[in-house]
Parts: sequence; structure tokens; C-alpha cells
Amino acid sequence: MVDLIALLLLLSGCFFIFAGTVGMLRLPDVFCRLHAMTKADNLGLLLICMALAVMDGRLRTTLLLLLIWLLALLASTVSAHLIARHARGQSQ
Amino acid sequence: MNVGLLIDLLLGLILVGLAVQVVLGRQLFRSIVFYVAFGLAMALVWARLGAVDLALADAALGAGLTGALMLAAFRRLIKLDPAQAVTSGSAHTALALLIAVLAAGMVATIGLTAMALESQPGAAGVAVFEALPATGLGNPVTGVLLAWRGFDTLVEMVVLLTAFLGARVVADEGWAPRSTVASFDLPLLRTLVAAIVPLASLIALYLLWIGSDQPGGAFQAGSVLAAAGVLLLLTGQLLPAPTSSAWLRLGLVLGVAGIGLLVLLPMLSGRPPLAWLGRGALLLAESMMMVSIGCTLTLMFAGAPGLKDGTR
Repeated sequence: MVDLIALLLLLSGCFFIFAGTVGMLRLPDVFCRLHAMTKADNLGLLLICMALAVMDGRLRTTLLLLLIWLLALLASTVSAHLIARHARGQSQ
Repeated sequence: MNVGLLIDLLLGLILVGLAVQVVLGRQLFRSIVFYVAFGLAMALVWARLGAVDLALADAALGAGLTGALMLAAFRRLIKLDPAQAVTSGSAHTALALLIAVLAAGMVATIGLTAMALESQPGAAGVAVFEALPATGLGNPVTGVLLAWRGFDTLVEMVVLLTAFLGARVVADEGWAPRSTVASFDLPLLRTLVAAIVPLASLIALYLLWIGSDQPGGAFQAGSVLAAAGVLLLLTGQLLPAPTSSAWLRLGLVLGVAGIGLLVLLPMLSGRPPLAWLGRGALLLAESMMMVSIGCTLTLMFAGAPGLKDGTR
């Protein structure tokens, strides 16, 4: 049962990361690509972290994975913001 | 074919593909970006091989700081010679290809030779694991770096200091790099710095502390500190300064002093360092090395002799 939940979470996480990558490769401009990349990847990473937490089952691991996700969230938010600002500055 | 082998093959393919992209990259910038990706893939490979110390070092130094240093150098290069930004550099690529092929041949030879060897009972690696319990250390890498091959580590710290001094000589002193972020007043940036810098310091201290028993140690901790320094420089909290303070100079030579004392002092007593000085001495020497590595790499990224507080 636990393995099944973890498998479902992992597969959905991989789906979102895959979708984000396809978006980054296929979408026309910087802003669309950023949108696809950051949104889908953050969700994908969360799902994968949740799958790993379910597989491990310990509170310590769960909290560490949560911390990792929050740090990735912070980094991707700020870098996406900076890239978007830079791109807007260039286009104007 | 099992899943582990598939992952290994995939990682190997990614690594070779990225390396080819770095060498054959038509633009310098692309090569730098691929090199950073290569460092991250390399870290994954080390982790997969069970060499977590190397994985940490490669992620922090190989991908993170080297990448930041190369980007800073690239920025400086296109400032001096804007044509370099778009140059095809095919002549460079031919030379790089030659060097890459020779290097790959060398690595393949060493690898194949190593694979053909049988594990010897008296080999250094076996001896390390046999002698490790007597030192009280849990991490064989720390044992090798500080207890048995301390001279190598001393020379590494001297190399780092020499590299910094060399970079200082080459760097144009009058050139003060501007921070890349035009406005430091972005609320998001301030949040990032406020969250990441204390956390990075905590992680550095943790890596230093845990390094005696688990993967970690002075080099990983120092590079995490330097990463925090790079972030402070990029966001204008720290600014390059034309002169260095006495504290900074002390920080730069602290590591050589620490590991030098750890290696040379036991020669006076004739006993191995751990038996004579204990684990506290190791931790002290590693702390000094961490400070030096952090200061040196941050200053290298700043490309300036000193640093000053950018918030005042």
C-alpha cells in the first residue's frame, strides 16, 4: 500500500517535471518558458519529495525533504523573478 | 538488465554528452553553462558510486563556485573584448578537442588498468580502514586528509593561497566589478539573502562538525561559506574594495597556519597528531581551513584585493 502511494506520487512528480521540460523546450518566449518551468517543476519536486517521505516514513527525513523543497522553491522563485526582470529590461 | 545498471548507463551517457558539449561549444557562454551542468552530473555520479564526500565537493566547488568564477571571468572578458561574446572560436575548439581526446584516453587507460588490478591485502585503502578505529574518526576521507596525508592537505592549502595571490597579480587592480543586479532593493532579493546566508553558515558549520564521522569537512564547509559570500557580493551586501583589512588577511592565511601546525607540531613530539593532540585539534585546524577557503574563494569571485560592507 505504502509502495503503491509512493509509486503514484513519483509517477505524477515525473509527469510534472516532464511537462515543465517540454514547456521550456517548446514554448515561444522567455516568460512562457519561465512560467512552465518554475510552476511545473516546483510541483513535481514536491510530489517526488512526498513520495520519498512516504517511502522512508521517518519524521526527520520528512522534515529534511520539506526543507529541501522550500529552499528549491525560494531559489527558483527569486531566480525566475530576476530572469523575468532582465528579459523585460532587454525587450523594452 | 537491472534498473541500477540502466541508471549508471544513463548517467554515463549524460556525462559524456555534456563533456562533448563543453569541448565543442561554439560559444564560450554555452560551454560555461554546460560545464556547470557537467559538474552537477558528476556529483550525481560520485553519489551513485558511494563517494558522498566527493559528491558534496563536486556540487559545491566543481559546479557552484567554479561556475560562478567562470561566469565572472566571462563577464570581465566581454567587457574587455565584446567580440568574444559571439565569437565562434573554432581554433580554440580544435585545440580543446585535441586536449579532450588525450585526457579521455588517459582516463580510460587509468580506469582499465585499475579495473584489471586485484585488491592487494596491504593496499593503502585497506590499511586506512584497518587503522581507522584507532583514530576515533568515522570518516576515512577525513582520516586520510588530516591524520595520514596531512602534508598533502598542507600543500593543497598553500596551492589555494598561491592561486589567490596569482589571481591578484594578474587581475587589473583598478577594475572594480559592478554587481550584476542593478537594484538591490528588490524585496525578494532581501528575503533570499536573509534566508540563505544564515542557513548557509549553519550548513557550513554542520558539514565541518559532521566531517569527522560522516561525509563533510573543511573543503565542503568552506565552499558553502564561499557560496554565501558570492551571494552577498551579487546582491551588493558586500562590495569589492581596493585594500584588504587585517582581519581578511588573517582569514586568508589561517588555513595554512592551522593545517601547518597540525602537521608540523607532532614532528616535535614524534607521535601521530591524533594520539597527541586529539580530535579537538583536528576540528580547530579544519575550522581554520574552512575560514581560509571561504575567504579565498569569495575574494576570487570579487576579483578584488578586499571586501567592504555594502549596506552602509
